Amino acid sequence: MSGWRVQIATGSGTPIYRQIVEQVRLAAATGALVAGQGVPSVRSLAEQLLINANTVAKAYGELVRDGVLESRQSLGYFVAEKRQVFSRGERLRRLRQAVDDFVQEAIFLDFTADEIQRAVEKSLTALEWCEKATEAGQ
Amino acid sequence: MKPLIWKELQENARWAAMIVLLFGGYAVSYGRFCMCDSFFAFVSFVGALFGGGLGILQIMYESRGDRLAHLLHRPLSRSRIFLAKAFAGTGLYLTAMGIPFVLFVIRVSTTHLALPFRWETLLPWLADILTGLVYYFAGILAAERQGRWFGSRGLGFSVALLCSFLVWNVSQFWHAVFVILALGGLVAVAAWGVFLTGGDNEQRMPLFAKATLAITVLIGLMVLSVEGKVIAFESIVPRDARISGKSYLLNRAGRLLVLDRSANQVAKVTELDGREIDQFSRSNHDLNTRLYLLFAPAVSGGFPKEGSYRIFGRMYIEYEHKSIPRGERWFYVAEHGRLVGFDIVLNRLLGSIGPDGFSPGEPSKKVRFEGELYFRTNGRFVVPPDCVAFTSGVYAVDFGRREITSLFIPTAGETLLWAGPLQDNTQDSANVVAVTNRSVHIVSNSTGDVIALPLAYDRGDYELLTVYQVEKPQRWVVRYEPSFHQGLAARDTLPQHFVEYSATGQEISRTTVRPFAWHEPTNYQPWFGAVTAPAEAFLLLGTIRHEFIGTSSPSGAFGTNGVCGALCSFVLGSRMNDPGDLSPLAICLVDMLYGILPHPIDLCFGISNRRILNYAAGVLLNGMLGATCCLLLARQYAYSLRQCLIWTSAGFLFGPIGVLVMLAIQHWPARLPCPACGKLRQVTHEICESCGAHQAPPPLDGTEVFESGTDTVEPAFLTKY
Amino acid sequence: MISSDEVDVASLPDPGQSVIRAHALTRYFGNKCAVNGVSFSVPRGSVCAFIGRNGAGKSTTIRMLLGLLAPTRGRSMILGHDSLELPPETRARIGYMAEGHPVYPWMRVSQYGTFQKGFYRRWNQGMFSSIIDYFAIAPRTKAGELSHGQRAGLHLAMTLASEPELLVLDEPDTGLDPAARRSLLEAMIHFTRNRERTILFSTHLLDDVERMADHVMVLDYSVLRVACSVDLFRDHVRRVLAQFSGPPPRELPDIRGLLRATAGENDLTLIVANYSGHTERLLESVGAQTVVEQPLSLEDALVAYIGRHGKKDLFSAGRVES
Repeated sequence: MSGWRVQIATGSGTPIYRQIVEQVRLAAATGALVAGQGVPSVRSLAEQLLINANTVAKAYGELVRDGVLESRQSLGYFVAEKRQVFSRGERLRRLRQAVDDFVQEAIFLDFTADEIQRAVEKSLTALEWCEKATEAGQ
Repeated sequence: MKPLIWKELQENARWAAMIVLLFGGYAVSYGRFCMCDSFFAFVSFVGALFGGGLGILQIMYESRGDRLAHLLHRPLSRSRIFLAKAFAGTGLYLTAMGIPFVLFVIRVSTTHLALPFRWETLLPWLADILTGLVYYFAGILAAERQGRWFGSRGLGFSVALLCSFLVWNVSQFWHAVFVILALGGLVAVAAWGVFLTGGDNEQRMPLFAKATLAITVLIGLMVLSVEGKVIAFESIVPRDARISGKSYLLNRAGRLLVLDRSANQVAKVTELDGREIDQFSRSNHDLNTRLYLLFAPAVSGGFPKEGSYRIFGRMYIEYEHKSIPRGERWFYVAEHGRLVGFDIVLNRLLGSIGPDGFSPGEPSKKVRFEGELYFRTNGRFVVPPDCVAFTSGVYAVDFGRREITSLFIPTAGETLLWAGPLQDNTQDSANVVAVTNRSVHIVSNSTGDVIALPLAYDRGDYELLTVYQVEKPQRWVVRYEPSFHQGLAARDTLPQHFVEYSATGQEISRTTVRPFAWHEPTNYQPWFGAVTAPAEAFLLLGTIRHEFIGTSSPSGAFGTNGVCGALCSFVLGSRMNDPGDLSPLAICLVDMLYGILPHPIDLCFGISNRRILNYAAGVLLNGMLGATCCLLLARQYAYSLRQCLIWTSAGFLFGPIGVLVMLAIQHWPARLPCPACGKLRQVTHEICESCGAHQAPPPLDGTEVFESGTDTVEPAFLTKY
Repeated sequence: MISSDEVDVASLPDPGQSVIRAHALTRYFGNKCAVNGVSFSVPRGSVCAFIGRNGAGKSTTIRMLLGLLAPTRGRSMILGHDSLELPPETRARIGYMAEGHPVYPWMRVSQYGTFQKGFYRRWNQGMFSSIIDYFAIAPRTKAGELSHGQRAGLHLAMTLASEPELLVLDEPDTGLDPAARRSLLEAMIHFTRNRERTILFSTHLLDDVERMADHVMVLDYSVLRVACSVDLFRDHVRRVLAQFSGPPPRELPDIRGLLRATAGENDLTLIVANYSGHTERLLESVGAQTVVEQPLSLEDALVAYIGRHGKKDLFSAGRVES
């Protein structure tokens, strides 16, 4: 918990709220944020990042909708248990959609199937390495 | 509102302190010696400069852009903000100018002055201080108004100058206060109105304030116009040509001659029929020596005094006499009715001289001179009298030896009107001439005998008298000229009379001559009609008509004018302390205006005179020009019928000045071509005046992104016009 | 001439939701139009950024909204009142920081506090002192001796201490050093803790817009081009990359909503507002092989709006004028 902070960058193509969503998601996925851990309140994060509280609220709203965070009355926001919001069928559908999009893009870039597979493995390894690093850090 | 007043005071206190230090020091130390015109002029000047400067400084700093926004965005209505500023400014001004005044009063009441002092002599000072307030509001008006053309900002000062002029020339103090309140109030309300709307927002000014602003601009422009015409007249017509060069001259032998100074370089002496007798150059030295040798010695009197709160003659008069020793000053003090003397060096009262002689100590409760002292005025200056003359008698006073002898006491039922010395410079002493309501008395200096010459003409018609002493053989000549109250026209047309008497007082002969007009009508005068608007002509003529053609003449071409005449006679002070006194304002105005108005003589002859007709035609033309311009402007900007009528009448009444007022007061929005019909239309109107089309919406180019609902025209919102 | 209809502006749709409404607000200075037919509404509780080039008419518009300047045409409403007839009590609820932060140079900062306090019924002296302190201003300093950033701090203190409902800031961050700017942003965020409070601010720092604004308005030389939420804006303005087989065409068809087009060797990058399939088809009709959407930062999108009428960029290659 102690090491994790949200960093936002203005002037990038990604809206700020989206940056927050992705960072929190990543942190929850890699274990930088553990389930049950509290995240800064809307106001304090806004003041910390010097952004509009609405933006934070919007980001948190999406995270709650996606099941990454949960809101407890008058206590704030906490990282939700890693549970699946979606049914297995829905999850498969989403995975298939993401894979299709990814493969299409890769083919368009004119890579072979081997090259694509190697790229995927590299990415997964990097993610594992990340998880291990955060675990070690804790 | 209080913090704003505090802030204004803090910000501007340093200017007030400066004035107190610089001016106060001067006033307190010199004021008591110098309660005269130049001192008051200095007070007026300082008051005007400080007042105007303070007004400008208070507003100018915060008159634009962000600073103005910072001032105005407060939970106070604009009126209250203005009030706070005005309150602070007025307070500062009165304090700064008032401290020297108060200090002076304290000093006067506590220290012993080697001069007579009366509280009424402070009134001009007070009036001049108060006049500064008009300059203050004029300064505010000048600083805040984003004038759309030159000069409209400064016109408040023009009104303030008019106020100064009137305050200096009216006859009563409370007249002056009235003028200050009226004109000051006018400019103040105009300044408030302009402040209310921020200077470029006239369409939202309350009607009352707008009218006041219009009147301010109007008066300001009229003052400039009149002054401009006066200056123009004085440049076009040189002084020599304005004043008739001819006058009657009685030489030492008693022959009636004419002195002609019309020519530039030479002065000629001619017979009555014009035959030239003598000629000499007009250089000052030459002329004076010649005239001295030529003229019979004379003394004149019967001029009316000018009466005003600025002339202290009614309170005390200083004497200048060769018998007054150095270090002493002698005054006639009306309160005590005696001649009071002061030692300037030792700074103490010497005593007083009355009909019973000299007695030291306080002059109160001692024998008074009966009746009023006779003295003359020259503008606002009191001319030190040559004789000690009262309505009850003439005295000879030796101030050095403090002796008094009575020279002449009129008989019962006779009142002394005036007296003066008839000095022949070849001899040491003078005879004294004393004129009563019945006769002219000449008191011989050597023998003390009195010769009485009964008045030959009615005093009502012929008040101005001159008594000449002619020789070979010694005789007296009395000249009768028409009185001032007959008006200028009468004085230039009524005959003069010379009555000759023997040395013992028997009438020898009478001569009647036609006068030479003091001012000749010029051919330029009718042209001034073309630059005078109808209302202006009416006002100016109405003001001085009385002075021009007097009370006895039939009414001139311009008839009687009720309200105008009443107001003018009020201001001119026809109700004065002494009914015989003249109003300085009247004299001043006559002096200024006679050149630019129809000549008094022309006015007498009325409408049949060609010059009057030309003048009137010029005035009408002027009015028509103004009316046309105003009408054209009104039509171009699609004024309503009522507004068209109002402005066209204003244009007619005030001529081009009316047009200028219209330009200054009214809102003149930009006019751009209408996309539908191509004609010019005002940008302030939603609907085109010619074709009724709406204003085009802003040009869209497809890149607009609006929240739904805000880009549609909302019919509930309608524009102002 | 139509006579003025004194309509109660509060009777318009959703009055409680807007703190500021403007309709066809127009202002001429002589013949020159500074503000042309501007209509918008600022919802309660929003932080609304007002963007435009120097001289576009932002300050003029703001002054008209506050009733400090009369419009040539059009009307505006602020806090439920016609701008030109704003009662003093309502004005107390609006905090306004004028551009340039004018001060009375002789007044000490502590005196400023007492001075301003006298005007308002609600005055939070603690907030005034803490903001003054925050900007490292000694209370005994005369206002004329303050730096630009400190003057901004003083104005901020004066404005916020009266606890207004609506904050109108005219270029508050211009000329501030980074620390002062940060303090300003913190103060603005602190201000919006109360969800009923609204901020309208004009700025050139698009960074601040991205951080703070949830509504945006863009004034493009007297014409209002954008008045909507930031989300809607981002949704409607897109950047696309069109690939061509050869060099891209010099002449482009009339693409509605085109803001900026930059040509590369074989491609064309376009920033388009109100992007639709129609645009894609138009591009294909002039020979584009593929049209792909690219990410677009808020800053780039806004600059595309306001940078349209300037000279060619010094550094972009072959910018195509639309």
